[in-house]
Amino acid sequence: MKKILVVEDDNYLANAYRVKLTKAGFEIKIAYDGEEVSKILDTFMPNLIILDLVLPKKDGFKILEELKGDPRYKNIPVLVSSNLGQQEDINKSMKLGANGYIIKTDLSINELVVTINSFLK
Amino acid sequence: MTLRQKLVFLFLHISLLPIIFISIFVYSATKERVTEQVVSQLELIAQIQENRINTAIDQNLERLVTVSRRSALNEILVKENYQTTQKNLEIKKILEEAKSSIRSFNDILILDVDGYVIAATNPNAVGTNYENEEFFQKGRVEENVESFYLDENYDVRVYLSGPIHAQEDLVGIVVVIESDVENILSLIKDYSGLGKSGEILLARRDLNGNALFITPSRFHANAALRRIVSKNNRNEPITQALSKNEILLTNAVDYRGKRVLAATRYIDKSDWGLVVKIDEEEAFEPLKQLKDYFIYSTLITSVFAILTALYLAQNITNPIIQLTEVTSKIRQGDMRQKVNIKSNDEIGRLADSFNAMSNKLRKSYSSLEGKVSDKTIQLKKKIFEIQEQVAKDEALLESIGDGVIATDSRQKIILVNRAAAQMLGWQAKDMLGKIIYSVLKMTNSKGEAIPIKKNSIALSFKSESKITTIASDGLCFTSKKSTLLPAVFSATPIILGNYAIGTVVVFRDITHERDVDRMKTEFISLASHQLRTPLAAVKWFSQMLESGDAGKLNKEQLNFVNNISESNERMIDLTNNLLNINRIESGKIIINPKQTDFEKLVTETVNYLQNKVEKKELVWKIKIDSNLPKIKIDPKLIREVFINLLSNAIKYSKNSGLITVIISRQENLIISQITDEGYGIPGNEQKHVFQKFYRGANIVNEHPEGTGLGLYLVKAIIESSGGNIWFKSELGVGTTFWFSLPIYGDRIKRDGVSLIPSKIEKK
Repeated sequence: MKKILVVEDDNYLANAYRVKLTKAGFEIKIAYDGEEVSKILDTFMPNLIILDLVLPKKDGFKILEELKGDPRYKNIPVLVSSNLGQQEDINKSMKLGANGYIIKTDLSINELVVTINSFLK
Repeated sequence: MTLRQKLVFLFLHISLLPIIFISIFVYSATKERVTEQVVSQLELIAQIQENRINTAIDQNLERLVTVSRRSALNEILVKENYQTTQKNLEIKKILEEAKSSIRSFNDILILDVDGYVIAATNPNAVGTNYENEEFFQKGRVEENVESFYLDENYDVRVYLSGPIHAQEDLVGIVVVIESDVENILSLIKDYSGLGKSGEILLARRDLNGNALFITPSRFHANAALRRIVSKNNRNEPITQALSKNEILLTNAVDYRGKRVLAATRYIDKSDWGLVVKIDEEEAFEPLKQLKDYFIYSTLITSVFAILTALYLAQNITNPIIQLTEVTSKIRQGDMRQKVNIKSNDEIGRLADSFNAMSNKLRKSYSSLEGKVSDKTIQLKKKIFEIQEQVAKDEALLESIGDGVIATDSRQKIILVNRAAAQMLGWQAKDMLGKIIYSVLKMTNSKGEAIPIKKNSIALSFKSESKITTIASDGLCFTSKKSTLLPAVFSATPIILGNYAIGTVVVFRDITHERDVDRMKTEFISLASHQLRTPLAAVKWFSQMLESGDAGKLNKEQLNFVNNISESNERMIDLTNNLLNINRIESGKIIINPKQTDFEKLVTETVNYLQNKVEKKELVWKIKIDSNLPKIKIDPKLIREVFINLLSNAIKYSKNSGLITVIISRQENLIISQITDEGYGIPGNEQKHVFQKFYRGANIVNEHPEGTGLGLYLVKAIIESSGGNIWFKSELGVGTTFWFSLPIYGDRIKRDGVSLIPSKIEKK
């Protein structure tokens, strides 16, 4: 079973990810803020990380930078899922090593699953 | 030299010169005549005197002869052995007889050939030897009258001597001592015709050859046999006479040293010189009068000439002086001045003309004054109007919040409004005359100076066209205190005729606008993020319900969820569009051109919308020029354009309508055409099509969803990319949109924000 770590501070969205992705057959862990990510990763090695950018305690860019700078995690694909639409944010994320970038409102949940599957092939 | 002096000078010249010339001429002619006259008179007198003297000499000689040739005397003297005493007595008797017959004979002496006096009327003389005496020497040869001498009383006496012959033999010499030479002296003293200074001189040569007077002179009674004139003194008439020169002298100087006129004669008989002379002073006495006369007449003429000249000068210059004075007064503006000269000559006519002229001048001046005062009133009115206008302009200028600076053709500041001075931190008056760049220092956002070559003010002036900068150009200016302030500039050349005579620069501190803008951007950005999170949650949960993730829904349930989903989508669209509009309006659309396969882009977009087309059972008709080159465009933006236009075409088409997409190349442009067979846009609303929030009146009810922002966004993107968009629409028939894009691509715009992409980024 493929494991996915979702970093999302919004309870409702986190819940949506959990319900849909669990149904889609993935093992899901949710990190609600930046600091939780490293704790979860100590015991849970995901196949994919879905990363929000605006987060309490530590923002998504910082997390992304740490992940890609850590040899243990740098090969885990990261799909940035954000509501920031600025080109700067997209460019910055890609530069930091993100493997994909989606804007939440622009994608249906089913398309999200398709996208996730494409990363986990 | 005044006119008066000139005239006096002229008159003196004219009148005196002839008089002086005539005077000199007449004087010298007269002098010549007088000289001639005097000299000829002198000559006449000299001739007469010469004749008289000769006669007198002859007379004396004759007298002598009467003695020497007495036969009795001869006989006695030749008688041999004659007793001397007897002989002497006889001779003495003869001599006394002779003496008594000729009264002037003082003594008569008979000398023997050896010079001894053998008989004499004066018995004391007998026995005296006169061997060495001149009269003895001469008397041996012939009768002569040459031996003068002075007696004890210094009276002139003369010896007459001559030989006594007896049958050719010289037997004795007779000597007569004449008591005087009355007959000669009386001649000499005859001064008739010689005036007061004339005299006659008679001289003989002395032993040294000098001239010795033998008669007294008029002025020196004792001159005879005493006064000597050196033979070297050739100027002396007597010298000339003794040199046997019988001439007339006009420049002679006599023994007294006086200038004289003289005639000379040489008396051959006795070897005497005769001079008849008269003092020049006397001879020319009439000339002196003439000279005086001339001098007086010259003086009188001069006086008359001067008076006449003065009178004339007065006559001529007075009117001229008057004219001058009047002219001067007229020049000072007193036009009533008149010249008061009444005469029939040229001056009079001049005065009349002058008066006429000044009269005319006065009239034209007064009419001119009238005109001038009219014009002045008009001018004052105009000035007032201008001042009013200026005041308005100034008020206007001062009330403008933007900085306004005007320069002349040399870029020097000629006008500044308060806002400009305040923003730049200067006193407005201190800015005047300065080169604009030294005051309005244009920089980039980092405070680095913009070189003059790229300075919009300089460019505007150079190109003589208006140049405006926008906020996104990121230009700033530094104030006097080196504060860096973001600004927009507008430079407009002032064109007069065909030349730029200056520039008007308007600039605005956009610090506040920037702040507001930033706040707005931040707000919208924040809002979009915050809005999107619940929208995404709603979206995803609705979709999960629709997909049956919570169990299969019944028809009604599904319908409700669909409604929620669609409304949510509208909300998402609205949010996206608001975000895009915000960026367009703040000039932050990023054009990020890449080499793009236009055909592929269109195809993908069409496929993306395939679901919607199928839903409405619409028919695509796609026609893409197969030879399109790859062009440099921002694919995301152009995709956005296609999505908007195609979505509209789909949305506003009736079911099973035809949507035509034609992409073609026309020269350097790619023209995209999207045609639908939908509702069309009402004619009276067509001009509002590209306005923000416009939605066609005919479709609002039919399709309440829609933001009215799509076409506004499309137009902004196309125009930002260097293209154009236009359309044609007929109500109930359909609408066609065309837009063009240049093949040679776009410029890159930085520092902006891209539009929200409609699809995920994928590496």
